Amino acid sequence: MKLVLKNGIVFDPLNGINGEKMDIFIDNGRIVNKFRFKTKAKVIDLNGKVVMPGGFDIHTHIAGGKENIGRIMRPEDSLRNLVPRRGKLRAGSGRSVLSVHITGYEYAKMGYTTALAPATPPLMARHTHHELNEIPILDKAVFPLFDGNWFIMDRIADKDHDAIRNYVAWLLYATKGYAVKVVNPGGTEAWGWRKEIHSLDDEVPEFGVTPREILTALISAVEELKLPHSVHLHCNNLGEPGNFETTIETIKITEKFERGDRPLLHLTHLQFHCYAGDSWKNFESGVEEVAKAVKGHDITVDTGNLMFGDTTTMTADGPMEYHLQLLTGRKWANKDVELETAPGITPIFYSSKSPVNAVQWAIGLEIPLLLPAEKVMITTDHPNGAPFTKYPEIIAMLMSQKYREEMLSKVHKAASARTMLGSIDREYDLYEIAMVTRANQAKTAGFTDKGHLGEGAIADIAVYDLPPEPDTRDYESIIKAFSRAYLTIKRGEIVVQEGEVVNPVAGVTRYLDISYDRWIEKDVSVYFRDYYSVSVQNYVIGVDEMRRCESVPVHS
Amino acid sequence: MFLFTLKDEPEVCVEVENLIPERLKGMKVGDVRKLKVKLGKYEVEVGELFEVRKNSGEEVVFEGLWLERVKRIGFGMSSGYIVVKGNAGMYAGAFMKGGRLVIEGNADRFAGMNMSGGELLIKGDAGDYLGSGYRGDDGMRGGKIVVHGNTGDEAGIKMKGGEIIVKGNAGMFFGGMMRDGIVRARSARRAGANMKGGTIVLEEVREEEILPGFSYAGKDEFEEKIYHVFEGDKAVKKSKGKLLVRNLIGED
Repeated sequence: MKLVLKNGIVFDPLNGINGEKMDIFIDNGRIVNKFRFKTKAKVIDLNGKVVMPGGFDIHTHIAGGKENIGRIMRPEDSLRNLVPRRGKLRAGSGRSVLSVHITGYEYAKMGYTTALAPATPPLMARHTHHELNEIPILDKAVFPLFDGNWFIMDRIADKDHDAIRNYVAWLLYATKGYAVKVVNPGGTEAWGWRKEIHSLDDEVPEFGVTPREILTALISAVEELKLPHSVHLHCNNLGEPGNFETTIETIKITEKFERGDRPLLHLTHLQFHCYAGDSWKNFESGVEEVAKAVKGHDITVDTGNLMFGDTTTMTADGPMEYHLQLLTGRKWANKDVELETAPGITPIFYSSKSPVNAVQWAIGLEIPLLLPAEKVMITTDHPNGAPFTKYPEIIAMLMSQKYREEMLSKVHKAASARTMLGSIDREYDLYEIAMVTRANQAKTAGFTDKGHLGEGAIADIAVYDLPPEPDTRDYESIIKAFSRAYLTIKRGEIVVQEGEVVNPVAGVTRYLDISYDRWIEKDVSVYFRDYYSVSVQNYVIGVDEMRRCESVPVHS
Repeated sequence: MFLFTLKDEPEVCVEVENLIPERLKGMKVGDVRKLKVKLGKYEVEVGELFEVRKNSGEEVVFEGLWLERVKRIGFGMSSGYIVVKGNAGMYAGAFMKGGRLVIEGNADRFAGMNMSGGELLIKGDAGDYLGSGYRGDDGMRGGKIVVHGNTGDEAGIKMKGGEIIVKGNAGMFFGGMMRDGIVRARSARRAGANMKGGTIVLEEVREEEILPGFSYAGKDEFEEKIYHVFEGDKAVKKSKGKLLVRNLIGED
């Protein structure tokens, strides 16, 4: 289909276009130069509406084993959002643990076209891919988990670096993964032996390796393999008061490495890792120190904003979920995944009257407001901080100081007393919003044909019904515009019109086309023979199991 | 306000959470017919399934046949008055915050589920899970449920507040896992399993139906009558629940 978007005000940070009135030409799902565009096409006059690349979520738990446990253990969450069948759209349910089709529709309504599932135990990757196959509209990719992997920890103890690098390549091949995700390195495995890891130099029992060693080994493996995305890290001590020191220590690990052509590390849901104080009583923000470290190092971060309300927490950080359910007294599930990891799931209600939750909310906003827009990405770590459907509110909070002030006056006073949020008068403009919601994500994840509107890019486009310089005091209309995209275009097809999904096209899953040395198969087979409950033949996922997929070549 | 009658027996159950007084207030009959209700996984217009008429009173009335296939009557209502002249389907009065819902026949399962206010009157029998929580959720938080007949199993499960009065008998696990509030029935089986707080008042119970987690604490006066008092359930830490029984029937 050929399509021309006329008279849109374009915000395209990767090409340096800041609010220029432009026409965009789309042919065969790609953006093309207008001079090669001669035949007749459908023309849409946008009349000064805001045009951005399609939204890109770099960290959202939308598919996999723990998401499914969340759905099973929270029928009451499904009840609160029942979506009936409409025309071509499938029925579904869920507010924080959404069913697969609704996930695609809700993202598309906000103008998002790509979402990466950032944590899948390799053994559960098949399930994840099958779920991703069913999520409409979005393009997807999977990050397998490498944090508590027995093979890697054994090889670190043996100092067999070749085997680690080769195993990383093999596991990405076997799971059809896209990047290396590390969650609480060593911590989950140690917890399985009734030990807790509190610093980077605590040893994992039975393996004798430390989080620092695991992380160093994985970063160097990823750098040698030249993967498109860096190590995607969820630091140790998530959600513990005083954990900002661990976070800074972790950031310093990158000093040992030479800078490549992309950042060395991505720290995810930073909000949960910026806590100062030494107990919940004197819990406060440690963003200032962390922000300094982030600015001084070659890393990227996403925020993991927390918003008030009911949600479900789910992470591969088993011990953290265990401690959380001790605090809340609510239901809890843990899923031990053999030799790999142990995700936990528990529901939570973030209350604006709670001093802890109020400070957490404020920290989530401090991070993007204290860091340059080039380094930050907005996420809610869906559904841990809040469901992804809260993005429009977060965008409005970044754009409108008035909205933040109104919120601060409503929430517990600890948010003003223990963070700097009240004293920050920075307001994001649409150019910066385009950075933190799409351009940075696509660049960091190595999706070179996404997140921008240059020639040859995939025609994933969001159009919002906003003036190019919106009145920031009128935050309600900002929220409305970002929750109901005027148009969402997916690979050249119009999928959303005026906030309603009109054409639920299928999305594509990307995986790495990576090669490995065959000798690693022999080493790995020992683990399958001795420990795994499945055989290696049933472990490796074939390309034929992914309904629509694209491979990304790796030149290592 | 309005009178709804099903035109024909629906193939699958209809869900009518849209037809609550606060939403219908001030609407014209033609607009009400265009409101959406759920029929299985589809949404259809009210006028396709129901005969809609205006009536002079302030109440919303459901009458006629097949009402037991109409689910979610009064779901989430916070004010006004609904009358069901017949049997109501599942989830009648669920998530009610206020107002009054009267069911002149029987109510199916999960009536008054997650209720937090208002009044639910069932003149016939109620099904299982009366005044309970939805699967996975906490139970009733406030309001009042009165049942003239009997109720099924697990009424008042996980209740946190409010009042349930069953004039007839209750089924198994009456007031199970209760935290607060009061539930009453003529008799019940295995009442108060895992209760942490709140009060259960029963008129007549066989001795062997008192669960082993309850300890006898003598007799006490309640509403000017003398009751046997049991405290428990001791299976739960720091439990403060009370089980009052007027007549204990021995095994012989």
